[in-house]
Amino acid sequence: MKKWVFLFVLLVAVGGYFYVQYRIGEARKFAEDDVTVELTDAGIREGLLSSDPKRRLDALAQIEKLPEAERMHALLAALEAPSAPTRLTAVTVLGKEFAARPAAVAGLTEAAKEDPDPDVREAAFNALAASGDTAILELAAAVLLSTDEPLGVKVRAAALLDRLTGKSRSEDLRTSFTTAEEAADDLSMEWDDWLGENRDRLRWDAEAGRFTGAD
Amino acid sequence: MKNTTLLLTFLALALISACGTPEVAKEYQTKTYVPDELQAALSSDDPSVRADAAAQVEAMSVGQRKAVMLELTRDERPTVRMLAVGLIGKHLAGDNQAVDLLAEMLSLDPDQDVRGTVVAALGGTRNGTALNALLEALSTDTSLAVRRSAALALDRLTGQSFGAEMAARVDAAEDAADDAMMNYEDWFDANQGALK
Repeated sequence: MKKWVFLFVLLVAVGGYFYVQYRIGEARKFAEDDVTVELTDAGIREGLLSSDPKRRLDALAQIEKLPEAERMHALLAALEAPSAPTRLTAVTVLGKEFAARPAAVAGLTEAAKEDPDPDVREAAFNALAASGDTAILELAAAVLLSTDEPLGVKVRAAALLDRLTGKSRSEDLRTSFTTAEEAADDLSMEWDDWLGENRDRLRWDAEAGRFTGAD
Repeated sequence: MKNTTLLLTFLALALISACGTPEVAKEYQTKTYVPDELQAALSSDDPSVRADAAAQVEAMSVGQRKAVMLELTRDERPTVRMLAVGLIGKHLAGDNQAVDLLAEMLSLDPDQDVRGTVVAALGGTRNGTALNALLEALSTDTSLAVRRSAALALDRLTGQSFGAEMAARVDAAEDAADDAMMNYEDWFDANQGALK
């Protein structure tokens, strides 16, 4: 019996050891995720080239320590980063600091047209709108023409065109967009009520190929 | 004695397995199941290369295919995520883990086309979770096109017809966007040289 008790205690100890190791690992990971390390210039340069998205983002957040010319170059390079938060930060800083520079306008235009993330595209678009560069007119027209942009982005592009050109050509669009959004809001409430009343009664009906059993 | 031995062994094994599970889960999250060449082929610009790559995934064993499809949903490229979602809709429509993942993608994926594909995939499942996820998308998605698709998927899954009016209004807004675009195209053509 003693032998088995000893074995049990041993197994509990081994299990406990692995559990504690796991918790320590989690705590370390959490700490690494949360703490932003103060970087030297060399650390920023190294961080900007890192394949770790968090290191790149930390380096971008401290990029103001680098000389101006190097900063803009690094921000333009960060527009190609694979992670969307990195590109979004790069677009925001470029727009704030370098929106008057042709190279920055070219980079922002490219991001506004081609970036796969809609938030990055919109941030780049807004940065260009603030720059006063005439490229924004063509870009806004391209957004309106695009089949990929969400309707909400098109509405904002049209409103911007109206403002920049002093014309009012998108009133119908704004009105019908608002009407459609209101219809979607009403519909979601209708569905919320319906599902609230019927959820417990719904059963999958293989023959009908849908849920049945609602009132 | 025999019973005590069995009980103690069972308890010890249960404890160890409980401690080990998170590590296994973590490994599943981070382990790479997709070879680089396959990943490149899945995101190729050439549709026939993408189709061949998708066929490769479909030819895998059930377990491997599931791991690969779930991993591909975390790819940075929207086209790859859409392809993965399409494959999940085709092969894992009855899998609770896959449906939960699709529901999560519907609320978190930044690309409206990917979310639209997720709506289509959820519309083909037989899981109550899908109804909740679709209602969430209808209520909160930033894209009207996704909200429209979610409404029509809810109609289809339940045999109701609540969404027709809203779909018509979204179509009207899209038409108005096309009209605004044409208005501006004409205006640009007439004024291009004069703009400062």
